[in-house]
Amino acid sequence: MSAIYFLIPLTLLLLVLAVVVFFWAIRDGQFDDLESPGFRVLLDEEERGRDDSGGPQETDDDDR
Amino acid sequence: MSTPCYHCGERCPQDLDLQVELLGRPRPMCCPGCALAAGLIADAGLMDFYRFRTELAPRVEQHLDWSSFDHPQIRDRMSALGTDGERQLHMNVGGLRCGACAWLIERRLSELEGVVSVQVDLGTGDTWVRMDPDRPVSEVMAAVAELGYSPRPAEQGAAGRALASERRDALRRIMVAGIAMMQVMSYAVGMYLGAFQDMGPTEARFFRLISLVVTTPVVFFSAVPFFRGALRGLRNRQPGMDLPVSLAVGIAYAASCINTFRGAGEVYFDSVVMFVFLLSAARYLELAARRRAQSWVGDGREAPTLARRLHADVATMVPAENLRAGDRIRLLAGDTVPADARIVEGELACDESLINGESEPLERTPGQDVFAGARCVSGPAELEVLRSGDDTLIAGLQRQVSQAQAQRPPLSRLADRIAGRFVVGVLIAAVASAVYHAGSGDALGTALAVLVVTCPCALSLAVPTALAAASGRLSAMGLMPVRAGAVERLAGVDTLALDKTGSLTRGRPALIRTVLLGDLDRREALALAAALEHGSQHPIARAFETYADGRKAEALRELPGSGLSGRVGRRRLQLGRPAEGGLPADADPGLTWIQLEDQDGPLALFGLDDPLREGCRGSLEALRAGGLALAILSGDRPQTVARIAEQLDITAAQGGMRPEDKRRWVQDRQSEGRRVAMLGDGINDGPVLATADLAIAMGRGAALARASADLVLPGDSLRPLARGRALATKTLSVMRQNLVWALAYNAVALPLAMSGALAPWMAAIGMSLSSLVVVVNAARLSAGEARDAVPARSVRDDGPRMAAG
Repeated sequence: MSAIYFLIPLTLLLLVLAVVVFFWAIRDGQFDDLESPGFRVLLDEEERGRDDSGGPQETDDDDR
Repeated sequence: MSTPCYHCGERCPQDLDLQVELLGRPRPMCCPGCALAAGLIADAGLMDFYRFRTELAPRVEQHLDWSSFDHPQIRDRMSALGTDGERQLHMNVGGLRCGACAWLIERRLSELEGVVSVQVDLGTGDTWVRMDPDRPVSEVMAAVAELGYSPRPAEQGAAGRALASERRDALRRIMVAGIAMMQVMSYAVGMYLGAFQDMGPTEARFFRLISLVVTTPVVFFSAVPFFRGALRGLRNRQPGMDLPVSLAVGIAYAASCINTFRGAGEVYFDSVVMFVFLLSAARYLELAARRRAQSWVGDGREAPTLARRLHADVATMVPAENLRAGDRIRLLAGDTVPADARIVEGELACDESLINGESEPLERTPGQDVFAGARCVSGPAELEVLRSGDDTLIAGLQRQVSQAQAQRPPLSRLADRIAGRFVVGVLIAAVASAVYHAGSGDALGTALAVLVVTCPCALSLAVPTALAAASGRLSAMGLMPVRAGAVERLAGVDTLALDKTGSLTRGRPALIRTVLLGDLDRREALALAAALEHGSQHPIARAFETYADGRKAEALRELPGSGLSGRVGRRRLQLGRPAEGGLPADADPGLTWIQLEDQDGPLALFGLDDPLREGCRGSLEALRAGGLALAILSGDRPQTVARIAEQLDITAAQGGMRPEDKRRWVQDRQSEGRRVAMLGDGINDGPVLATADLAIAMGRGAALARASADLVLPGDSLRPLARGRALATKTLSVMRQNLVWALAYNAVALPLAMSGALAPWMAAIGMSLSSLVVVVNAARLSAGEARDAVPARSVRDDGPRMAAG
């Protein structure tokens, strides 16, 4: 039981760290646009600057 | 039965046969603009846009000149040169309907020469472009416009930054509250379990202490906005919901701290953090929905204009704001008038529809004045500036709007009215129970239990949750709430006053009838007329542009009285008003007729009119069925207004009204006790919109009208209005249900707490449950009828998949 006297303050320390990281993320603008990243994953098949010359350039699902 | 345009969903004109091959098949297009955009998309290999989009694209409008944005003074307001030598352009794009639109713009702009990177924020439309500083900014904006979207300068000034920092602030507070809540809740569970399993006093003390430590930043950081709001309310003698919230948080926290150091009694840290987190989150959602609509709407200023200032006969392009009274300027057809000016030489025909609602361009001669904001339909002319910048008529209207809005009475919310009395009631109850238990039991503990259990958790959540859900749903329907209180006002109005031009009609002439007089077929006659009208700035020209087949007339000359003459092939054509008696007997006198003739005689007659918007009749019927009295207040000619009123079956219709007349009409109705909603789109409507109980603006109208409105209709149709009103009424009833439920819960819990029979865990569960009920009830508003993503713009089933529901 005495373990919690040590563990809980430890988690608090981690929490403070988490809050600091969140604050940095907010300042860095990570939370400014919450919608675009979702669809970006779906649509970008050829990324600029990627070494993708061998991959297929066209999708094959034309029958949607 | 006409087919919908594959690109934007609007109806294709019957005799137009424009198709573009997309996704393996030819698809119908409604106008050259959409066809061009679709062609661009296809050629650029961006066909994924049609595969993945969940909304139809906006209709492509043409005729915009972006070159004014290349002027250094204007350009530098929108962009900055970075340390790496690149230009960072910040603009706002309107018309983004879904993820695929943002993707399309990013890809298209990336392909432009000189563009390094593009990023589009779908939620607000803010777009950042890093580009070669030597390439013109106008190229980027024109590329966006070609696809059918509306690029606008994003003000990089204080207002935008303030809004962004306010949002970040709110996020920080919510995050701290959320993290703390998770921790404190788990400690609380430990304490509750410990109470049943005989936890020792040291451990209990430890848990309380640690809960106190974690709750403290929540109270002194996350809850600060509530305290500020309560103080403000007290100072203005108008206590709102913030007062009971602050009291509950403050007292519960203080009492729990006291009990922690006392070593006895109950602690309520878990209730405090949960309450702060839930309420902050609900208010943030409500704010975010409004903020998104606001960034779409902009700040009420049109795109900057350039003027041709003359100095000893040499013309230099300067921004309109640099003009001074007495400057000489030259105006050509297609220019926007940059300042209030008097004609010195030449003649000018101006389209003043955005200023006074008059849909026909007026001819002006030397000695007459023109006003800033009007569009020149013909020229050239030399003018002397009378008033510029802040002194112009438009600027005056803008000031009137701000004034009227500042004087508008704030919406009094039911919840806020209850809040004051609620606080008093609770305090009385707490004191009473303390007195009652003074001798026999734990007076302080009971008083605290009363205060905690009557915590206005559900009461304060009642309104913001409903509004957040409703705002999201309204936006999906095609009606954007921009100002606070929009939803409540929408539910409360009983009269709707409409402008004619721009609201009920498109504001642009369209071809209604064609009468063939010669040996040409219809398509050829229309193509010839289009060839003549190509490049003309007169509104009538727009009616013909869909019929153009690429031919252009030579030796084009403008004739007095809005006529045109030119040569196409071997024909010497003339297009103008028909001679007296030249109209056939069955010609509708309400249409504007023009005649096409060549050297051998008349060829065709075209009847033009400004047609009603699609679905206008149906939408108005639905509104009337919902209990709204309808009226038309228009600045257009009374005969035209009367015709429209007759078609729509509206008895209260007046034409020839000036803004003051409209305002007086609204005020007269208001003094009769009615609540008036006003729908308009012109600059002149700005002051009237601010006077009405609810102001609705059309998305394509003047920027000033949009910025002064409570609600904006981004589309072209009035259809969303009826369904929006039904939703608003439902929202109000949900709010009332929530309030009733919250009060009922308190009424039941209060006697229990006063008698001392309430354990703290019961209080905590009670608060959570009551809040849950309120939130779920509000969520009913977002669910609602599913199938109204894009009303009645049906797309064929092999086209884009509509968003589920």
